[in-house]
Amino acid sequence: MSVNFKDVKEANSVDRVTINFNGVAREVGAGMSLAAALLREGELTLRTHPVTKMRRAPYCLMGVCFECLIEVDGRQQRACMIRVKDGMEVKTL
Amino acid sequence: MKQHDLVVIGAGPSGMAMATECARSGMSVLLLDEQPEPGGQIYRAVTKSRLGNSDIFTNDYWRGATLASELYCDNLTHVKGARVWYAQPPADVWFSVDGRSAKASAKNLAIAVGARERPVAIPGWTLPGVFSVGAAQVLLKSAAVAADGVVLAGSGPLLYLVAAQYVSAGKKIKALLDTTPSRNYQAAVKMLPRALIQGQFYKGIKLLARIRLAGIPVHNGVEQIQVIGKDAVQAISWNQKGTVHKIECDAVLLHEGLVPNVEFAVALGCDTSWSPERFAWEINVDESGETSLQNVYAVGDCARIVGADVSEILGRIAGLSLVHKFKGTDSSKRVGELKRRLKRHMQLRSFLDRLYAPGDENILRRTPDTVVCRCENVTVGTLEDLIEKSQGNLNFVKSLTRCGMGPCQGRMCSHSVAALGRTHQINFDSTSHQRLPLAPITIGELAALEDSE
Repeated sequence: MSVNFKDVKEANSVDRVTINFNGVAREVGAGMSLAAALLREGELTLRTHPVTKMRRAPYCLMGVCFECLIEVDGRQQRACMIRVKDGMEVKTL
Repeated sequence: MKQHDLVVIGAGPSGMAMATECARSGMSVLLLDEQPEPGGQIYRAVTKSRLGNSDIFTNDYWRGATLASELYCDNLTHVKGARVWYAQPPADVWFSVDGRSAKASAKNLAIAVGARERPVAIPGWTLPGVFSVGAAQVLLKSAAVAADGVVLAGSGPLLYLVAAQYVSAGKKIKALLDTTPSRNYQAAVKMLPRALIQGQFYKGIKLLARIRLAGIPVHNGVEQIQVIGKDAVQAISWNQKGTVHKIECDAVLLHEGLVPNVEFAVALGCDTSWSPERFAWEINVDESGETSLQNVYAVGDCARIVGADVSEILGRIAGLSLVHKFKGTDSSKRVGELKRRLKRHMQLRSFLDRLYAPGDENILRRTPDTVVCRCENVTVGTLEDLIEKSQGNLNFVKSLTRCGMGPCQGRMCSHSVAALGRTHQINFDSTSHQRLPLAPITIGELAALEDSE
């Protein structure tokens, strides 16, 4: 079992947006970073490390470590630094 | 293109305070910040939280909303989602918003880019499921999510703060492993009387009590932490008084204090120095926050780790000093009052700095396979061989090993290299060269550069 980030009980409800995640339509929470939205759906690893070929997951979530690098609309970006948006084309690396 | 009197980079407590002080006194201010909402990391998402007025966070967090609301004033333009990628002293900056680039010019520049967590280079820290403690807090503040069954490990106020916030959120914590070296308590106790006069000190005591009352297993004097797993975190082991302990878990949150984000100032040419006490590079500033470059200021945690309250005070002092210089307005009475508050706060800060001074072995485990540079997978073993030849020059280490040459540009490894250097009596007085652009940018963004605000 890998780590599971769930809404805390006091959290207000969120709107949903639909993204295309690795070719599959997927509803995720809106109003948060793409990294947070994916962690909330149980998606932990977002890229394969180019040197070690091991899977890597977000570490800092504040734009420093680049471990959440992912392809969004054809461009590699840090998932923690962009807001999730309806219709986003998202591919893990 | 409009010429501003001041451009501020970063909308955390110090940046917001300085921008507001200057704008209210009639200076035209441009505030650029990467996040979609003001607040910096400490008040992250405070104006748009999914947690309403939840008591997971105390007033120390919610008061950030007041600071943020003060940004709506005449003479102040706040550009959200602005990533600054190039700058020339004193105050020409290039930034991009939603893939479009722009240039702004001002007479003065304030760097208020805050802090990050010190890297904790221990075996297994690259495994999926290892996060920084700050990352868990970002998830809680900005997305209202948290995980059950985590292990928190390390040292410093943030470790206990996030543990308490997890408790309030009803989340189970498997264990809290405190790595604060026992010698720190002896050193800090001398500074205790001065810290005792600070209200914040008692908040800390209450925090510790809350964690104990919640029944979280707290282990002190923890050493040699190791995260174990094949494809993701499966367990954590540690040494306590010579005995090895191990528990299963699927997430580990690490924290060994904060370090200033000095890279922007370094790229501009500001003088920095290494602080052996706080184990970090810091930006050299005078009493008003001005750096070695004229009309370039560095305020808040990016110059030296001081915390949110002091950052705000320093932002106000810098703002008022600049207003005085710029407009001749006499604000010596307010500055005097702010400096008295600053002095009181700094007595607690000195105590915290001493108590939570990072232990060498806690921030870098000297086993050959420990990864130092996450981007390029450079290990302790590779670095041990050439660290003495480097003569304290990080650029040498970087050129020979690619350590610090990956996408994070050394932000996740430079302090670990410095830690390894210290065990070899090698001091790294400066960071490696910081090259512009300071943030990733596409050719398209460059090509579309237009002159505007």
